Amino acid sequence: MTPPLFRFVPVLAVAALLAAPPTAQAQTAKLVWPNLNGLSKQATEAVDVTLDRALLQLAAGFLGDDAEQANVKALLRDIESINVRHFAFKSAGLYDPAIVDPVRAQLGKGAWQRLIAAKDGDANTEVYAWRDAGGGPGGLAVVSLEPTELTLINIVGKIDLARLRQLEGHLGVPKVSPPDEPRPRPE
Amino acid sequence: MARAAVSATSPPPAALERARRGEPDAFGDLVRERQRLVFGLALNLLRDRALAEEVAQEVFLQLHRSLGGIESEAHLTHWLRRVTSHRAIDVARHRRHAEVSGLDEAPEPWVVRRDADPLVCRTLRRLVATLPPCPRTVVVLRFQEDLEPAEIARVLDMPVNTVKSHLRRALAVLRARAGQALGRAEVTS
Amino acid sequence: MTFDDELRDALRPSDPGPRFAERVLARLEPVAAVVPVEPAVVPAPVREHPRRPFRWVPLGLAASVTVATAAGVVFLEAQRRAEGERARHQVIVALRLTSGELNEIGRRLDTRATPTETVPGDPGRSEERVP
Repeated sequence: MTPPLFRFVPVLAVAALLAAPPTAQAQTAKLVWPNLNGLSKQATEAVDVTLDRALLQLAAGFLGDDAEQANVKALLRDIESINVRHFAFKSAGLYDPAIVDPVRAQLGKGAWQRLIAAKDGDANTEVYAWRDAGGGPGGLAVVSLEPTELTLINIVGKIDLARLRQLEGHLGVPKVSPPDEPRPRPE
Repeated sequence: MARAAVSATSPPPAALERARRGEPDAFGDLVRERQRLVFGLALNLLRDRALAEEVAQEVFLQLHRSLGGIESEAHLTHWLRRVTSHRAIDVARHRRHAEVSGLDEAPEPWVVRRDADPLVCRTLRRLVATLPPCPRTVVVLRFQEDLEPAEIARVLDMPVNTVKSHLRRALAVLRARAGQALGRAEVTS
Repeated sequence: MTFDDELRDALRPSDPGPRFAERVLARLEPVAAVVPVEPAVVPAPVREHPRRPFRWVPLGLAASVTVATAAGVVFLEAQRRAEGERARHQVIVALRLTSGELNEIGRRLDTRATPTETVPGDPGRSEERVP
């Protein structure tokens, strides 16, 4: 089964929004996670990534110079921070979906705008973008709830989704080509 | 550096042979030859890159101490599978919290096979990780290393029937969960 | 492709990277990781006094301090490298998860007639409609 193709239009829409002129806002694009430590006890797999600007620059220094990693370096250039929490559980019902309500509350304020929401049975994924006021960095947030997985992603900064698309097929990133564009040629 | 004399028709001595002779750089070559097997096994069993790296390093350190007892390439392969599996099972059993700050999946090779679906692969890896340590190890040895149940039994010091039972039940669970996770009808093949 | 084939694909072994062997070897011979340095040569003092026995103690001490400092520098460099590698891995994890989630949304949108739905209880903000 070939991987599903990511819609090009919302990608463009996100890219446009992330580069759009600002409106005055006081809140930042940095989300505050609720206390999720209790989930680790139930989880069979947990990922906790917290990378500020300094660590991102350090990481960039350890990326190679080939085309794929150069792309990642370019992607990181305008990112201020990356925060990810991800949990996988052995079976459904081991976490309370209300645990992400504080995150949704933050995403309902300030310059956050929900771009995409997709529900599939008990699985629900939402993508938000931040339109910054003073020309400062934008942001991206993903809240994904599945019966056996919970994922929260918050990226602060200008995210170049075109470059993110170029990662497809490399570094383990699934292929996400838009339907109307030729696939990027491997270099 | 001392080199074994070789004729034009015989292949150069394998890294194992050179390492057993204590030739400089030979052990490094041996590690490079076998690192994918050891690390790959550890990662598929633990789904944690930092832990897998630690286990893989420990396995090679132990190999260095045990080189004198390794008799052949086949013995080496069996030894590596066995030690890696047992170490990984121990680590998996003692892990209380899965919270880690590292990769949950290793980077794929740069070129992705066109007939492999990364989403399916990712889902299946996650599902395998939900199995208890012993059945998980049986599945990984079967599908990463293509071992038959009898060989898996030797690696894990387990009766063959137990291996077969683990495999049968684990595959049934994986098929059912894969069916749910990937939105398919239950896979029967 | 059968389920067994898919499992084989999913469980294809990964490589730990080009420097793994070096990291193993460094643990085998930690002393060898220290950059060898020449002992610091203390310049001979101007001899204004009658000749005294050559002082081995300060020379040995200087050599020890230099080697210890070099070892410290190597240790700190190894720590920085470990931290950098860890950060690099975390970046890759984060980007993989993000792309994976976006891809998952695409899959769900592709398989549904009405791709966007409002989540019950959501703030009710308008969202981009996906055609």
